[in-house]
Amino acid sequence: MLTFAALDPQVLIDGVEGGDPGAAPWWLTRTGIYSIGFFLFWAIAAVAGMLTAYLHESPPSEGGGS
Amino acid sequence: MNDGTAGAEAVSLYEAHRKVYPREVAGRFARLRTLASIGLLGIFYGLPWLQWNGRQAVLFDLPARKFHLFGLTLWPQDFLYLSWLLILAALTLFFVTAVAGRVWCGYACPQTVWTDAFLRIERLVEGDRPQRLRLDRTPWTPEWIARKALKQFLWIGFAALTGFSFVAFFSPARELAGDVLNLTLGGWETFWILFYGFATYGNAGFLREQVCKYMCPYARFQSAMFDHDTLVVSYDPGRGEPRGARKRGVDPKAAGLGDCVDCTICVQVCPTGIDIRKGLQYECIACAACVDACDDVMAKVGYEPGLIRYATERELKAEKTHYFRPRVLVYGSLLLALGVGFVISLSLRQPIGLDIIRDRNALYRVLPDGSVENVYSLRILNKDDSAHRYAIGTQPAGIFQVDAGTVEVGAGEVRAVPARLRVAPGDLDRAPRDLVIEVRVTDDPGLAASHDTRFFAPEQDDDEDEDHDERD
Repeated sequence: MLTFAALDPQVLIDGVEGGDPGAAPWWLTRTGIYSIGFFLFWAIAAVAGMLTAYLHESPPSEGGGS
Repeated sequence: MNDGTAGAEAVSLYEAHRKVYPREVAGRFARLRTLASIGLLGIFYGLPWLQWNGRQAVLFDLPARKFHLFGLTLWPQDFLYLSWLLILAALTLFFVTAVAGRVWCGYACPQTVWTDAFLRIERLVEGDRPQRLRLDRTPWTPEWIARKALKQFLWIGFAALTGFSFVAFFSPARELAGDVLNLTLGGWETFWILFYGFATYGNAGFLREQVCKYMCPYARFQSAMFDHDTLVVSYDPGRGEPRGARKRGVDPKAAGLGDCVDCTICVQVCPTGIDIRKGLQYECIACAACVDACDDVMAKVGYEPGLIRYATERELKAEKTHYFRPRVLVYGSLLLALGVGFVISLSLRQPIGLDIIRDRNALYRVLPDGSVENVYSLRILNKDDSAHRYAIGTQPAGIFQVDAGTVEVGAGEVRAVPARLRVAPGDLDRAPRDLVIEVRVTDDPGLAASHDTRFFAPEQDDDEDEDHDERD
């Protein structure tokens, strides 16, 4: 939430466009960046969850992997 | 009469999913649930169409980075209110959970509400539990294909409408509807409508109780808020056991039986497919369908209702329930304090913002007459819904001369204004380094914003001070 409030993607987009509106691809809008940001946070949470599940698993009884 | 829902008791890490076919219920709590569903779905689908002062009443305008809530416009700078609101919502959830258990899950959770809506469609097309069970026993018959196709058609339509309504909270509903009809929808809008529609379809159509059982974090930690005085849906084993079928008119006491006739209706109506008679389980979403169902059966066999009811653990043990206990008091007073604080803070919120950036080229400029000038760039933010005229002043007043007059800023606009502050040569020795620039609304002097900044001047005589790049 802080990221969404603190970051204005338009600044980045203007940087990409380099003063030439229309140079950026269709998905590069504020909505686009916020959407991608949402999925990035989702991915971070998912990875954290999977890591927890992985570490929580007891080590296999044979072979001695950890 | 057991229909096999008791199933295997062995618990493996990954349980094979058994489809739950909830039976339709009628009764007090079912009516309450229907009312809650209608109200909440009505808000969700209706709110984007409500207009307020010529624009959409509730619009989270991400592209413009503004949130409109009726008369209120929130800016990124107001994000504190959003976090405050989330904290309030969490505390409310804790408070309600401590007092009355999982009422959120049973009546208000979107997962419950949409699952219920999808189930109603399913019931409409495929009939109630026995018909659905029969239909699924013989798949790929013409009737099966026809009913399933119709159900999928209605489900997908409803899910698409939900996706559209969701996006309409972020992108103006009227324009969005026009874009849909003219097939001129933007890429991201299309993506989000499809994505949210798909999520609705998957969660409410297929995953259903599995979302509550495996995915929901609240289901996992709600027990931390429970105690012996929390209202939960419970089966009264003291009254019901030993359960068993009996002939009509047989005195249960004489037959050595409790009030439970073991009809398993409570299991059949359960949307999560559990048996409430086994005691409180984490799968129970407290929807009280079993309460209605059991009361119905009790009335039919001529027993008192309430064999399954909302009760506290103490009540079931024939002890006194403590309503005012530390947990409830702490949650309650925190909630009250934060709620009152929120309302006061929001009502005292000044719809004006001010940012100051000092001129990057020169710290100061000495004018021919010996006075010293500093240049600032003010960004005045008018968070109000009407245009205002702003006067720029300083604290302390009297020393600094401001050259910018008054500035007009439109509703919801940001305006960058260059401001020159000048100090006459005679005043230089009494001009403080730190000052406050303030911006005041001319037609409402109570509305003002201020910002600390510094005023630089050449060193008067000796004094070795840090860098200043003198120019001109």
